[in-house]
This record gives sequence, C-alpha cells and structure tokens, in this order.
Amino acid sequence: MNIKIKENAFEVRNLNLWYGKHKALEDITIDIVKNAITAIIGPSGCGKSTFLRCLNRMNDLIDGIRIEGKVYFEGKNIYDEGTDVVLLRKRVGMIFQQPNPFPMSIYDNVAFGPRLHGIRDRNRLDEIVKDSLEKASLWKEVKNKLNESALSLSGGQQQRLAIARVLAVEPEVILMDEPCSALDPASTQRIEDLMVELKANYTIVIVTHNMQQAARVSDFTAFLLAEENEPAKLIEYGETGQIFTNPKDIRTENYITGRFG
Amino acid sequence: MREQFKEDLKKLKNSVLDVFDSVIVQFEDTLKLMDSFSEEDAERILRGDDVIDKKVLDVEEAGIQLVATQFPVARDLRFIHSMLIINIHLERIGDLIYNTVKALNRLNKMGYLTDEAKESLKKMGLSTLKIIKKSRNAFDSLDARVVEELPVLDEEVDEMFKNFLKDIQRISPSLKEPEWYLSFALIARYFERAADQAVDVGERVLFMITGKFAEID
Ligand SMILES: Nc1ncnc2c1ncn2[C@@H]1O[C@H](COP(=O)(O)OP(=O)(O)O)[C@@H](O)[C@H]1O
Ligand SMILES: [Mg+2]
Repeated sequence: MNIKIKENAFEVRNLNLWYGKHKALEDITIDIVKNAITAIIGPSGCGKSTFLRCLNRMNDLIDGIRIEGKVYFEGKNIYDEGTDVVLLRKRVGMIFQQPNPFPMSIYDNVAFGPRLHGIRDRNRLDEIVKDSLEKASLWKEVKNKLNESALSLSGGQQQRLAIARVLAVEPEVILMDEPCSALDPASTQRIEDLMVELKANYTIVIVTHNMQQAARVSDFTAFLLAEENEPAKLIEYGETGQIFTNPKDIRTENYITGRFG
Repeated sequence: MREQFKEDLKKLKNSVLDVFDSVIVQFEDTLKLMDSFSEEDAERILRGDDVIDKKVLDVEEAGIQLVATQFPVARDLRFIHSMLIINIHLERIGDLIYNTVKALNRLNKMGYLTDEAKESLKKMGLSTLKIIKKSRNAFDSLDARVVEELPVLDEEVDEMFKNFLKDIQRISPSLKEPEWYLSFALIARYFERAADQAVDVGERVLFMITGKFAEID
C-alpha cells in the first residue's frame, strides 16, 4: 500500500460568522485536503454556502457581515490585512448553481478571465481557451462553434463552460456551490466524472444538498448542522466512506439515513 | 459514465481474485504436506489463514463502502452483493484448509500418517483443488459454460469421498483407534465441503451473469 502524506489546501480555525446580529457559523475548525474532493452536506439553510464563500472571501461583498477566526490557504491567513483578494479569487475559483454565462461568444466567455488578468496575445488566448475547454470536457462539442453565443448551449454544457471559465485563470482550488442542482441526471453524471478527473490537479470543495452525490464523488465529507435557532456547527468530518458506513455522531446518522426531525 | 465507480468495481473484483489465489496456494501447500509432512510447513499454513481472514475483511469493508457511497442498482448491485458472498465462501474454504492441517497434525503426532494414508487423502484433495480452481476461473471469466463444468467435478469429489470411506476400512491400523478414524474421516469431509463451497461460488457467478437464482447440479 502507498502511504501518501496528505497536505492541506485550507486550514480553517475557529471560524465564526455573523450576518448583522444573526450568527450563521460557529467555531468551525476543519482541514481541507489538497487534491481531494471535500463535500459539505447539511440541511437547506444550515450555512453551507456561507461557509464555502468564506474560503475565497466571497462574503466580503455582503453588507453587515462580520467574520472572526482564521482561514489559512497554503499556510497564509486569507483574512490578514494586505491579502490580495483579486489574486485569492483567481487562485480559488467558484462555480454556482446557475452557470450564468456572459451574453457573449463561447470563446469570449472562456477568454474573459485571462484577458482581465492582462493576457492579450491572440495565440496565447487561443491556447488557453482550447486547453480549458478540453479540461472541462466540452471542447469536442463546441470546437466548431466557438464564436456562437454561450447562451445557445444546454444547461449541462453551460455548467461545463463555467468550469472552463474558472480553469482558464489557472486556479488551485475550485469551490462548487450546488453545481448540479439545475441539471438533468446525464449532465450531472458528466460533471461528477469531470470532478473526479480534475482532482488530480485541483482541490475541490463542493456544497451539495444531494447526499448521494456527496457519497459518490467525494473523498471527505463535512456535515454542517444548525440546530434550532443556533448557528451552524461542524458536526462531523471524515473520510466519506467512514461517514456513510459508520458515522460517529448520531445527528450525522439521522441526517444521512433521512431520519431527521 | 461513472468512471470512478467502474474502476472501484474492477478493484473489488481483483481483491476477491486475490483472496481466491491465496486460498489456492494454501490448498496446494496442504497437498504438499501429503507428499512429505513437516510441522513447520503445517504451522506456516495455519498462520496463512490469518492473512486470508484479513483479506476477506478488507473485501467486505470495501464492498460495504461501495454500497453505502455509490448506491448501486441492477447489475452493479448484483455484482457487489455476489462478490461479498463469494468472499465468504472463500473464507470458509480457508477455514476448512485450516481444519485439515490441524487434523493432519494430529494424525502425524499419533504416527498414523502413513504413505498409504497420505496417498489416499491426496487423491481426493487433488480433485477438490481442481474444482476450486475451476470456480476461480468461472468467477474471473463470468462465463456460464465454465460454471457448468463445476457439478461434473463435484460428482468426482463425491465419488472419491465414498471410495475413501472404503479405503479407511482397508488401511485402518486398528479399528480400536477412534482418533485415527475420526481425523481421517474429517479430512475427507473437509475436502468434500470445500468442493461444495466451490459449487456455491459457481451458483453466485450464474446469478451475477443472469440475475436468476439457480442451483446447479
Ligand atoms: N446575504 C445574507 N444576508 C443575511 N443572511 C443570510 C445571507 N445569506 C445567507 N443568510 C442566512 O444564513 C443562513 C445560512 O444560509 P446559507 O449559507 O445560504 O445556507 P445553505 O447554503 O446551507 O442552504 C440562513 O439562515 C440564511 O438565511
Ligand atoms: Mg446554499
């Protein structure tokens, strides 16, 4: 057996978050393993998206938010003063439930990020677009219509385009917030296969309310739960195989077996 | 589709084949004891059973995790479920080998492991080994035609079991020695049971292929 030393992409320490007076996250401490897929599961409204957005400071954009605690990314606390947030969001990309492509060509959608980061050379951009679409396993379907509008693509294709868009700026981490909940089963399957392929080179954190999806694709699973009028806490975190065969906390067991409430 | 899952299924099958191979090596080593018995070799085989048990547990754990995380249905579910059952049959064959070696040890200590006795046991052991190998082949190839060969081989073992009981009377040093008789007959019984387990593996393989439960005979 090979023993691989696991490295962490993130080390989250005692993270607390308030939306105004409402406390949403309480004392979350978790390591996110590099080159692995970590799934965040939990009931709707428990704070999964809130937690995910903490990992690339997407929450900064929300009024009245307050965050305490530390989030180390590659050893550096991203909430330290002087963090280059633009660079952080380049290194830690994000995919949302709705792919929302820009109303422009497929090519321009993918080239958008690299252009924003100053790449102008046409050959270089061509290369990046092709490479990103290939990695997102969309190239074959769109290579002959790169100049067509991205809006002409199906939902599943749009989501893979969104992934290509993120990949184009060469991130290290991809955060995915319910990336398949608007997709049909076949498109969902493609995204899941793609995630497994991508983890060789990227760290992936996926939020999903679909436990079966978490079980199928992830290496590690974190269960968040906000008990009555309480902020969300990390109830259990471990290897996905263990969480789904032998959870340690009765609340995890109740949630994954559908016995909640 | 579900590339990772396909890989995981393949891995699980390979682990079961690995248990098969360990069981077969154990059986072959046991038959070698019937050419020349040595206590060290017997000891080594007995220890080998722990290794098999560990592998069997690993297969079981991997199978349960696949069920828990991949939600297999139809053919996939049948495959995983069947592999776990085949895994248990293999563990039982391993136990029967263990018991055989224990009994051989007893016979040897009492000085009853004569050439004639060894010869007679070996004949039956060889047919048992043949059927175990054939069941491995059936599982590996998932070929119904290979499964169909199993009952023929099993009959051979049953036939030998009957002849063997006659042998016992012929070569019995003294019927006043119940220990001798018992150990000898038990070994034959273990072989016969191991062959039955191999036939059960064949039935599982048929279920994997066809989805129907059937007894083969
Ligand atoms: N922008 C926001 N402003 C105020 N409250 C919010 C905001 N976003 C989320 N919340 C609240 O935080 C809690 C967690 O929400 P969210 O992280 O979206 O949960 P989940 O992703 O698990 O469904 C909920 O009570 C929600 O109402
Ligand atoms: Mg959400």
